[in-house]
Amino acid sequence: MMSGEKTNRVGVFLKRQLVNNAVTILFFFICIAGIILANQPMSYIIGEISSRLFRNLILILALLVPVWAGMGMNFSIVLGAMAAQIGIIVSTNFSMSGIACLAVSFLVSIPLSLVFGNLTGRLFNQTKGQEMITGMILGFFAKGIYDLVFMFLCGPVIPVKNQALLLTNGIGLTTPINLDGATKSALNKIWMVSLDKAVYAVLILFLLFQAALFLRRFLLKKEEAKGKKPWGLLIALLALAVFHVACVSSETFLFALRFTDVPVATGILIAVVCVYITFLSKTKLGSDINAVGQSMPIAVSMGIPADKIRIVAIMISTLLAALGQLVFIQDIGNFTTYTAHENVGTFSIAALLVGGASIKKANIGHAILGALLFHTMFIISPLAGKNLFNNAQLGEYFRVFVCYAVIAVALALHAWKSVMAKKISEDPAEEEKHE
Amino acid sequence: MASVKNMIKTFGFPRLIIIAFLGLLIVMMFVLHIPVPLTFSQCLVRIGINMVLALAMVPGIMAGTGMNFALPLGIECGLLAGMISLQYNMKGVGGIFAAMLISVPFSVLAGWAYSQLVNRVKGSEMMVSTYIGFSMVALMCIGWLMLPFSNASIVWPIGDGLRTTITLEEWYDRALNNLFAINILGVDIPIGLILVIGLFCLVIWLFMKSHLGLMMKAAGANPNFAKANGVKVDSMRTVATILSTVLGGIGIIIYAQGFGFYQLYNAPLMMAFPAIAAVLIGGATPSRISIFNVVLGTVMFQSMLAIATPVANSLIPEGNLSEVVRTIVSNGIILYALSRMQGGKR
Amino acid sequence: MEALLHFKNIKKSFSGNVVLDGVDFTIQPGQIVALAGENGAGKSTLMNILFGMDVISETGGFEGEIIFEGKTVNIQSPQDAMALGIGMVHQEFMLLPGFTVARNIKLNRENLIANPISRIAGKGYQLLDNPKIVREAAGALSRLGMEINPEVTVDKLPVGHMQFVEIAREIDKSNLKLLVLDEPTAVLTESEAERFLACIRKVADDGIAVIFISHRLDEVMSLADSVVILRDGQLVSDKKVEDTDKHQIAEQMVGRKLESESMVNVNRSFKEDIILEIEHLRVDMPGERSKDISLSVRRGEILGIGGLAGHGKTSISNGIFGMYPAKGKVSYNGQPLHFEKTGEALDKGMAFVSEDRKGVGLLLNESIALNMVYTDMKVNRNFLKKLGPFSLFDEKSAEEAVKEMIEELDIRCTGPKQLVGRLSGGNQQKVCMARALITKPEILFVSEPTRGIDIGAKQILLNYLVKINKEQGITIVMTSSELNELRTVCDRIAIIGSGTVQGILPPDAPNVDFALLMSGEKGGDK
Repeated sequence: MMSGEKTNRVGVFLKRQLVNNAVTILFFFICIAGIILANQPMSYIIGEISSRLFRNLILILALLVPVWAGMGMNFSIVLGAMAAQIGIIVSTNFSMSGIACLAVSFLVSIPLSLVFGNLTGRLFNQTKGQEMITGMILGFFAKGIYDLVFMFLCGPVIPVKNQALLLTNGIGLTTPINLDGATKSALNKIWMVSLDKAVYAVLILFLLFQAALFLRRFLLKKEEAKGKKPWGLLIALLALAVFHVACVSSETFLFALRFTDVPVATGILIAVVCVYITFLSKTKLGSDINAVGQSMPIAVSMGIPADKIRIVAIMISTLLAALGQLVFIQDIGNFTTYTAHENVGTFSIAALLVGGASIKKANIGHAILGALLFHTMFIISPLAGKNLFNNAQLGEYFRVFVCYAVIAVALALHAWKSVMAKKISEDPAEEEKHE
Repeated sequence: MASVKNMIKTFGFPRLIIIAFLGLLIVMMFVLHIPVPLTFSQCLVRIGINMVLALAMVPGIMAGTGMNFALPLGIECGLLAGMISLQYNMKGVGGIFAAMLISVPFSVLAGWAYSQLVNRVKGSEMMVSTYIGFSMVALMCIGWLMLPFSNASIVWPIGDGLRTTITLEEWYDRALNNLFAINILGVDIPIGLILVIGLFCLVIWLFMKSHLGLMMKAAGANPNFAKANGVKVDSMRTVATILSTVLGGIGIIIYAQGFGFYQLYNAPLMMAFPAIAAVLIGGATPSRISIFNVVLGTVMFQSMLAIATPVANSLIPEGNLSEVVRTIVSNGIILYALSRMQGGKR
Repeated sequence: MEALLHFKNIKKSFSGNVVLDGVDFTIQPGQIVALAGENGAGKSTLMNILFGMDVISETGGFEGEIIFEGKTVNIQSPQDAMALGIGMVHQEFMLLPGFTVARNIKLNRENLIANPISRIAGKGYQLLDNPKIVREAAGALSRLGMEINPEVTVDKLPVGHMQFVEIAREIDKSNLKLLVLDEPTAVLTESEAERFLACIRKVADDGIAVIFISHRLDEVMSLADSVVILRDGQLVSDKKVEDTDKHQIAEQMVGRKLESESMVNVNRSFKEDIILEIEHLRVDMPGERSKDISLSVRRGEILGIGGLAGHGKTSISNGIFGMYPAKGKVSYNGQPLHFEKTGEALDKGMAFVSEDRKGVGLLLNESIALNMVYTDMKVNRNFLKKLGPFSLFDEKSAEEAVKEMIEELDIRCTGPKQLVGRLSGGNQQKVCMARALITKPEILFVSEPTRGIDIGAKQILLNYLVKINKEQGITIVMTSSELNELRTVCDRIAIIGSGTVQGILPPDAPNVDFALLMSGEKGGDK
């Protein structure tokens, strides 16, 4: 009887997990099928995924804070990306190079992205409940202004020092804008390590961290700590062991890892952003952001300045987006002046949603998993399309379709759920239980 | 002074800016010696071919589903019908009407399926519909590659699928524009096009005053009122969505014939936005619209674009200044409408 | 002993309508004062004044003084009230479902730890001191005698416990001196309510004064130290609990004397010809749920439906007209009525004037003409003319009918084309009534016909109801919170309490009988 009940509960739990993570699971299988169809060497796939992960992750992480604040997916991170591009244009104009160029670009983009974020937040406070559509349209609108400034005003109105930036007729910036040799991948090039070593290092660090936590708990001899099993420590050990076995047993796997170099400095930067976001969630500000996200009227009635908190959330998001776009551009080495920011919002949001996030809930784990799955799909779908239908174009259209469809499905599911939740809360069943 | 303020209030600040801008453009047109009759001809054509797409906003706003950002859904249906009409070499004005007829069943089906979704996501229609529109465009990209069209004039000579841009010279290029067209003082007046557009406006206007139209209006203006009067709100939303999709399909065929070619693949992606911007400029809100709003808005918005193009080109020959202006104006007006919408609720 | 709070001669009117007229009473520290009164007696307005809500200042403030701890205070906002040490527990929960109990109790008063980053980046970056938050929350809960795990999220908490969390939040504020409870036991079961009352006693024993608003007279009697009764904005009684009893309280709550000649429909006789039979109707209308309503309406009578807010009286007509999901059996003229189908009742020849004039009754941005003929046009397809495939709205014929109604009901307007949104409340209500009557119904359901309209319009509407009932033989079912209004026009009055019919009384029954049925003291099915 007991065991039957238990399996039933496990069954329910599994079913719920399956339903809640349907998008992620579906994507997982698409990726597996794609990898098989694409028929590419493992080293190629691992290399591509790794470089895209480092390139895109901060942009995806930039989306998290507004989700906590109940503002949904922040489509206006496009403005942050523009701030970063303006930063690069400014520093290139003064012919800067190398890390200094990136640093100055970032310094320029900080005030810009904060101002953009602030204005966006104010606009969102005018359109509560419709932040996402507003953010998207705002992105299009900002693109218009951006084009006006850099296509027509730069040159005749705004003086440009570096003539190489201008088109030959002196009106408007050239496209694409190339970073010079020293600036391209300047951050990445600080320290490259092969992927196998990097993974070992990360896993060992994780193990040490868990061990330290365990020790601390053990030493403090807290009552409640005793009952808890050291799951973290076990997981860390297991992960390390599995990885080691995989490396030892599979030549091709190890070769693929060794073949791939990862940028440590960029990795550290991503880690810093993750730590910042985790730290933020444990602060008063983070608590207020969450409170506003759960219920604006209640937060306000308790004296939390909801409008201000929402603006701050968008400012943080826009600033992180600027940082993310900067990392992205230095990795690629150039950007198309007028279109590089266009898909930043859509792609990052689709990736985050694929990772299992929803309009109401998103964390760092969703971002990392989403980045992995989404970019795997991105790499392999043209290849798979080519192998399957002898048409690479098909795969390319497919990935664009998937990208839009994921967002459409996630939005529709969320809207549907909240309509249903409203209905359930109006249902008297709850009350009946009471009587 | 008070009257000026009042005027601004009733007319809306952004609308005044657009009128001022339009005035400036007209002055510039004379200053820069741009051929006036040609530009006006352009204006008339642009107004005509965009009108039905803007009309497609009417049912959605009436029934309370808001601005139909999923217009590309209807557009894809229209394009599919257009391709079928080309495949079977339907030519001339008859070809255009045939294409319109063919598009209707596709649009009804797609609109019905989409309405089932719309009725389940009340309150988030705009965002969901935007991405439904986007995904349909991407899906149809695959469709254009895979569908078994075989007419040599519309498929790529080598490789698979339909061409990106298909010139209509062989079939019905500007057939409606040229129907009964007359020339007054150098301005070409596309009487045929105007008649067809007028007919559509009239039909929609009558519809708004009909039994069904009034039921739809109540469903949009006050769903509870509608329910209390025995109106099935969800059915009204379904009918409105289907109607809007059908108008989107017909709209793109009229657009394509006047433009001279069909554009497939990613071209329809952003086509909802100018249509939405036009009705908003005409004074519609996300919850209230009239035929007057549609006509005025389309006239203002499209004339602005039609005049801006030659003016911008003679000022700065390189780059596409008018495109940038279009982006700023159309998205600016939508943002303004969104921020107003909340203001009204408070 | 100095009083903690003194409401001194408080007067307040909303656009000429007096809602508080010289209310004057005091509360001592540690005292529990029950505030009783019918809906519209002025309880919530008084509390809005105490908390400095915007509605008060926006409508021209109030007269009189609030004296707190011996000083006249000027409370401009809920924050001001909070700063003085006045806390409130609302009827609806103000808890964040995803936060733990502890975090909810300490919301926006979290214990924080400064750190290097917060010193640079500002206070927002101070870390939450979770152990301390949990400890203090647990302390507040144990002061109430409650065993609730403070680390559970609120959405996993039984509904009955949420009220305690709210109280814990208030008493955790170190400066709390006065606690206002607005019908706190409405959502609690009986045993929970008992624990809750014990818990309030504890709070009061700590020296915190409590204002307790409740419709449950048993609770009032067992918990309160004294009872203040408001009626029509006036203070009618301020007595120690020992000096009064339930019957007296009930009578004083509704106690307005009504001249017998103003009751127009006493002792009319009817044949047992049942036009509408309601059996075991249950309607899921949020906030106005009914559980088991059985009622018979006789042809030609005016049946009143009364009762306190939240007990389900308005749900009956809403259920029959398909506005909310409902179960049960309704037969109309002997035929079963499929009320779950939208528009079924209308198609059968019934008509409905909703209590929610602006939300349900009108299309505010449309003309009087369209509003008035809408139902008839929709249901009976009148006022239409054919044009090809279209059935067009025929404004001309509509306007004629509308003009007649405008005259008949004395609607003040510029003409049939005026937008309904521009009319006054009374005239809007008349438009709603006209809309129902143009359909020539056999039976008319009217909900709260006089809510929020001026006295003149009130009288016209009530007289008109009596007139159409007598002259056209229209059966009327009228729902109202105003008992006296029901008594003036109805033949019988059914009182709804806790979602069931508590009893049916003639209009000339004594006040106290009505009062006891309303407060659920007599005959309740429970």
